[in-house]
Formats: sequence, C-alpha cells, structure tokens
Amino acid sequence: MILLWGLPGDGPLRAVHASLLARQEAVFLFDQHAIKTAALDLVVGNTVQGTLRIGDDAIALESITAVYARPYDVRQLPVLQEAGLHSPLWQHGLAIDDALQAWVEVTPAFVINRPSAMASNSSKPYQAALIRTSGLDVPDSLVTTDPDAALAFHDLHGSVIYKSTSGVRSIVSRLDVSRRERLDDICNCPTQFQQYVAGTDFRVHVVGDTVFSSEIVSDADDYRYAGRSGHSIDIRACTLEPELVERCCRLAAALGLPFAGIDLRRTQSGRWYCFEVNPSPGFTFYQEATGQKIAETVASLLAGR
Amino acid sequence: MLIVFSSAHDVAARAIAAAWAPWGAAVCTPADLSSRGWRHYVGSPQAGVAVINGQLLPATAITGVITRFPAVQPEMLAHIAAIERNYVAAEMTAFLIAFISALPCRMLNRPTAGGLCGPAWRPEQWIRAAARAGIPVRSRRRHVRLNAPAVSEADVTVELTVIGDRVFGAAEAPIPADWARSLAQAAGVGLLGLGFTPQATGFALACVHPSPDLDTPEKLDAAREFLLSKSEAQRQ
Repeated sequence: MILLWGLPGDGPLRAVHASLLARQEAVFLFDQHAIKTAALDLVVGNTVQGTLRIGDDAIALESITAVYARPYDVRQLPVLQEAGLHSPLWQHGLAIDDALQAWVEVTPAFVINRPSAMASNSSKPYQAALIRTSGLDVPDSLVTTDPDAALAFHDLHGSVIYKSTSGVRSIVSRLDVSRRERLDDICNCPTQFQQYVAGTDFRVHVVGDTVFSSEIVSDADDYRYAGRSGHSIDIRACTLEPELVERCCRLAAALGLPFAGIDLRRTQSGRWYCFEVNPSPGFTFYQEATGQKIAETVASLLAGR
Repeated sequence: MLIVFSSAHDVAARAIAAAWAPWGAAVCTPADLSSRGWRHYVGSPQAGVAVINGQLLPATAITGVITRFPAVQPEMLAHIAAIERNYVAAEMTAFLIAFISALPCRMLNRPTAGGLCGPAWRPEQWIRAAARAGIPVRSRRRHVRLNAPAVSEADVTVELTVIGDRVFGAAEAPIPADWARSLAQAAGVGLLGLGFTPQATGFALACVHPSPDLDTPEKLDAAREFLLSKSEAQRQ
C-alpha cells in the first residue's frame, strides 16, 4: 500500500496519484481536508506500529510500503482557519500532523521525502555549504546585518541579489545601491545577499537514478514569477553532460533525497552554479511544459519498480 | 570566548556564562541579531563576525559554543514589530543554523538543518535510535483523536546527563553509562539528557532532552573542559 499525504488538488500529488492509479497500485490518500475525521494510533519502540483512520477507512501503518508526503501547512487549512486558533479542531489538526511527521521519520517504508532530509532547505546558506561539499559551485553569498559589508560585497561583484535566508519563499530581487538608506533596515535582521550570476537557468529533477533536465529561458531575475512581472518564459527538455548529471545525483543522495529539484545556472563561459535543492519540487510546472514523465517515474519509484 | 546561545529569559544560560567568566564567556540572544555587524560568508566561516552585547567578535575568536534553544521563536522578538516576528524568527533561525554550524570551534550540540540544538529529533526518533543501539526502551505511544485527552508520559525516575565522554547520574542507578554515551554518539552530540523509567526487567529509556541544564559545578566544569580541550589542540 502506498500512502499519499496532502491535498488532492495539489498538482504534484494529483499527478503522482493518477500515475499510481494507472499502474493499478494500491493507494491510501490522506486528504488533509478530511483532517477532522482523522485519527492516528502510533506505537514506537523496538518496532513501529499503528493505525491511520480517515472517516470509515483505516490502514495499518505496517502495511504501508511507500509514502509520498506533500503536506500542506496544516495551520493554513480552511477547516482549521474556520475553527479558529487553539480550538479543539485546531489542536487536533496540529496533533495529527505532528504524529504523522514523527511516523514518517521512523517508518521502514520508502519515503519521498523524510522531513529531516528536507530540513536543509530551511536555511539556504546552510544548504549552500552542503552543496559546495558535494562538488557543485555556489554563488558567493553573504548574510549580514552590516550595510557597509553589503555595499562592499556589491562593489566586489558588481551586481548582487537578495533573497530570504530561510525556507520562506521570497521573490529574488536585484540590490539597488542608489537606495542606500533602505540598507539600514538590514540591521534588524540578517539578510542574505548573493553574487548575481548571469546565465541560463536549468532545473534538474532527480528521481531515484533517473534525471530529467529542463532549460528555462527567461529575462526575469526570478523566472518563477516571470508571468507576474511581465517577463517571458520558455521551458524545454534538454540533456546535460554526464558528469554534471552525476554530481546532481550525488548531491541528492548526500542530502538523503530520493526526489529533488535542483536549480542550476550556466554562465556564458560555461561555468555551472547550483542555487538551491528543492526537497518537495513542484515538478508539474516543468512536466507540463516539457512532457517529461516525472510523475510516472515518481510513481514507479514509490511502487518499487 | 565561549558563547551560550539562548533566549533572553534563560536564567540558566546566564548562570553558565557567569560560571565560565574567568575563561571568557557571554550569552548571545536573538536581540543581539538585531545589531549592526553580523557577517557570515558561505564557504568562508572564518571571515564571519558576531555581535554580542554591542561588541564585534570575529568568528575566529569564538572558542566554544553551547546552544540552549532549538529555534528563534516569535515571542523572543519583542523588539521587532509584531507583524514581522514570524518572518524574522524564521530568518534568524536560518542564519544561526548556518553561522554556528560552520564555526570551526568545538560545540556541545552543533546545529543541524533541523534546529539549533543538535539533530532536532522527535521523541520517536530518539526511541528508535536507542533501540537500534541496543538500549532498552519504553515504547512511545500516541493516540490522536478529536477531543480525546493526550496520553500521559511515563514517570522518569533516573536522569543521566552526557557531557563529552562523561556521564553524570549513572552511579546512582543500575544503568550502564555506555548506553548514554552510545546514544549521544549516534546523534553526534556531546550533550544529552536521558530519562529512564523502571520496568519489570530493569530500566528503559523513556525520553531524551537535547539541552539539559548544567545544574552542578561538576557538569559546568565538564562542559567547559570539553569545549576548551579541542580549541587548545587546534592551536598546537
């Protein structure tokens, strides 16, 4: 039995679910919208046992062979928002989420991906240090509360972007030093600055031993928001050099991620930089543009064949 | 300089810094992160700079670290506008994970991606790690239902504290000190609190504390000696 955990309307979850059903695999969907009817018994000692219930459906945790975890932030679920902060349903939702997170960490089942393996994405400079040790170059980065250090970093590199240090999603923006007074704001909170690297973006999805590469052509600083900012974007499947593919596979393995989305950029001189490893990639954005069979491959990995 | 990273309300942290004052020690709180001067260069941690009590401190001057909180919480940021606290707490935590973990000095509980106090394991992960290490464990149970009361935890009757190679509390109970050492080693930490509960066949591990108090002079000395020993070796 394969457990899917998340929202049925989530693109990647829906795509993997459809692929599993097409393969006639046994699937148990934990739809977070039904969290009110969920119950979980978990016993962890020398073995890991328990039962997950959704409404009238129940499954023994020991019977689960694989998990695809794409849980939505439980605190943002409409049903919990309506119930209100600290309501019994709110507490129940947090308790179910916490217990399932604990089970996902200790289950012998195959998991895409365990929370502990995903955690490096919550500190980008920490993850960048791990990327460097895996043999991929990362842009020079400075996290600072010092405006003078930020300006010196800008002068060193000529052009610098800033973005969140944590996993909180932010729009990558170019530092405009003509607005020097705004830099004083960084004294309140360490802010991440990064060498601007001009070039072409690539997204590499590592799915077990299989790699899907796509090239993104866009004139936006952050192509994820190209449409919103009025910029163009074109995504097409491509093939990367074997050595680079091997490094990406090694990186995903080193981070303990059977499935990862790796953001690369190639400069005009042919140098490659790695920006980030996404441990829960929204791969349908790329799959729909390229026709790559990413969902089918994830389903195959979950099914063990 | 030995640095104790903690919340501003952590009285025990201040006591640790006071006890270590003759060797040079200070407490660093989230409020210090809202000071001009912090720097962390990815790949060049030795070029980093901390700011503690308004004073710039090169990363190379930090000789040992103990961390007493797993993450910066919004409620620790009274000096930040309320609407910004969640975001700033996440950013400060992410910064500290990168900054502290990259320091070349010795640490009792080096941050990991999951948190500032070592591996940030959930109780079930500690129990599984202990079971794999051959330590008797008390099963951890969760029964989650809407409007159902939480399961009460087992009473802990014996507490052991690992500090480096030393184990405190083992002499008072028939619990092998090596159990505690092996779990700390499996977790990659030099500081760990372990709670045991009696069972029919002896004691079993019931819970783990990743940042136990250093509540005796002997524990304070052991922690300081652990932190300073490697620094001296590095200087040679």
